[in-house]
Amino acid sequence: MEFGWSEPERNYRARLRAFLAENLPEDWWSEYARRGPSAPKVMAFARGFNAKMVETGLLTRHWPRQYGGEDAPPWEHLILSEEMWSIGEPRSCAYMATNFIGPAIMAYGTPEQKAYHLGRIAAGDVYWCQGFSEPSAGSDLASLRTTATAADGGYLINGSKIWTSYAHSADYCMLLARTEGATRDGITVFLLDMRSKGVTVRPIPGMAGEQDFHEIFLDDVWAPSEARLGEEGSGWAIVRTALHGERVGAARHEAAARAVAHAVTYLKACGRFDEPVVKTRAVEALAATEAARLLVYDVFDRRAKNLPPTADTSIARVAMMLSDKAAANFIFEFAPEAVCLDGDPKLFTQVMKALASGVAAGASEIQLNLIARDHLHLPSGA
Amino acid sequence: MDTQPTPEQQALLDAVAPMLAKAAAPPKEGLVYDYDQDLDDDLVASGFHDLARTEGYGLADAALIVELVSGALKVVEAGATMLVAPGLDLDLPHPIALVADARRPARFLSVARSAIVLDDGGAVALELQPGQTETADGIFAYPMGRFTSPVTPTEGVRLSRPMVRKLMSIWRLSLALEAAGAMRGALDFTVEYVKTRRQFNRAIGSYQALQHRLAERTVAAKATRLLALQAAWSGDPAHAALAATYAQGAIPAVIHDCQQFNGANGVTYEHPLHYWTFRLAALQGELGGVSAQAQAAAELLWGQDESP
Repeated sequence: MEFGWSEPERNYRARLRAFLAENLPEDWWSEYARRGPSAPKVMAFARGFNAKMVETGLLTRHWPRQYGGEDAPPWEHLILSEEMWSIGEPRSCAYMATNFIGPAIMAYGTPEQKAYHLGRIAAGDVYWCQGFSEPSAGSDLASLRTTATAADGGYLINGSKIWTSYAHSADYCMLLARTEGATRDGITVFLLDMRSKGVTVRPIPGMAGEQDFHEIFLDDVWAPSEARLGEEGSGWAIVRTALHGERVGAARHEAAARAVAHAVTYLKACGRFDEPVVKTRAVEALAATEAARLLVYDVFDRRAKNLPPTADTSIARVAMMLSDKAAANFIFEFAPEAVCLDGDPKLFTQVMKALASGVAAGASEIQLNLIARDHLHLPSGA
Repeated sequence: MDTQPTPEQQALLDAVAPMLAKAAAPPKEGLVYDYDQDLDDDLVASGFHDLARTEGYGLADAALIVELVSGALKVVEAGATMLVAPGLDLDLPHPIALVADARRPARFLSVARSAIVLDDGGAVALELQPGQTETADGIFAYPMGRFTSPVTPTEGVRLSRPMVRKLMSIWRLSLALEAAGAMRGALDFTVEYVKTRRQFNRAIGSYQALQHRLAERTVAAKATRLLALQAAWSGDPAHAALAATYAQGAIPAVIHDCQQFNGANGVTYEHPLHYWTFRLAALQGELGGVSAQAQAAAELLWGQDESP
């Protein structure tokens, strides 16, 4: 049991902070971060930013050496996530590709898929989105209706995806489609080229970030067999692994903790931090973020020890959601003017990010179901 | 970073576990909260009380034991003896009562042989004389006691200001560990109960209305434990105050949901849930409750002054 960082880990965090200080523009928070990582302005910025991360070996340090990484331990991956997410994720969607899409290709891809995709992801010059949710398949993901039927040496894909972040600029989509039946056993993953004929992207105005949500329409989209990841019907296993990565992939606890600390600084500057109730609420919000932090660390601890993921991922995710909301509620209660558009961009960003925290990466209620089933071993209702 | 006990720490926990199994005896009827002398004797005989002062071990190791012991059905004084006394380098006879206000009942004071008492001048540590304390009956599932006469400022050893600050920090740490253990005990008991209790031809634990609340309380209990263990490991007073804030904030919902899901049984003394919930209820108001811990944390984190 040890709750401190080693010297190499501290040095790595310092290196990341120095890199960010050097490579983010002065108006980063007001002109970029507050728009969200899916905003066109941020995605355009991220291309250059990611190239610099690649130059300095920071983008995929946590990947195995054979795929261009440095075999950095999972704790460094966590530190990377904390430093990037809490400053507004300047990598944009590259964090998803390096967190779980690349690793899924490493685990399930053919040699050709690995050769083609992993180098591009590691080079930081390719954008990915994930096509999981559908209009009728949100929490009940296994009921998805998008079909992929065999045709002309590949598949003809029909259906639609929704709530897809980054779709407006994505080059590829990690797409779930049904190759047979109506159960989870018939779900298959495709690495779909977003420039394929028949792919239409429609933006959905959303609150959590500029151009964050999209609907993707797939009309007779032909994908070659080489675009299929893993065997037909293996999609559920692949996506479960991916979701374990995604649920703790964005370090919301760190962003929320920094938002609380920033709100305290803001309120002190305004002369409004002397009331005992303000201090009490600030500490309660911070305690929620630290609770989430340690539960996330508990998940990474298993990863660092090469143990398979458990329902602890869902426990950490629920705690992260609660920490996001606690930070946002503290800001709403004591610094409401700061979340106006001309207010404080850091506090604004936190409250907007917290809006989607309970539905992103699987609704909180689904996480609670998973905790009840897989951690508490409570009986099913059937 | 490593959130799990080391193999050596796990061996310590494994050595304590059989002692706790003995403690899980059928409860007595009625509103009597006995001190578990058998478990206490086992811990003394095994040398666990001196763990934090044993070469190669420290407060973090002792903290793991305090948390584990605090989840047992019956109760022994562990936090003050295993954490506070060694943390302050005080030699006080066990059991030790921590008394926030000498005019009010305190946990363990009826069975304690020594006490650390907060007063206007800071704190005094004193050995208790026969007749100096008496049992204070009540609902809290600890052997509660009170002083039979006022504690005079000249009694005992007065702690220096730095020692008082350390006392408050380790007291909060102990509070959080004890809360984490009791939350775990109450939830484990309740989860087993809802798996067997059937209504409408189903185990009530199969209803999502219960599952979600038990899952949420599990998040809080696990977080309380980790926050407390982090505070034990770091020795940082701000960590201890944060852990205590989180723990005391989480207690009411744990008590409510466990009580609720045990139904009318949960409101009887025949059903042992009260051993944990009435311990949690006592811990909820310890040291002034959640607002007091939060105020202390705020001063430690963002204040100008050094907080007690």
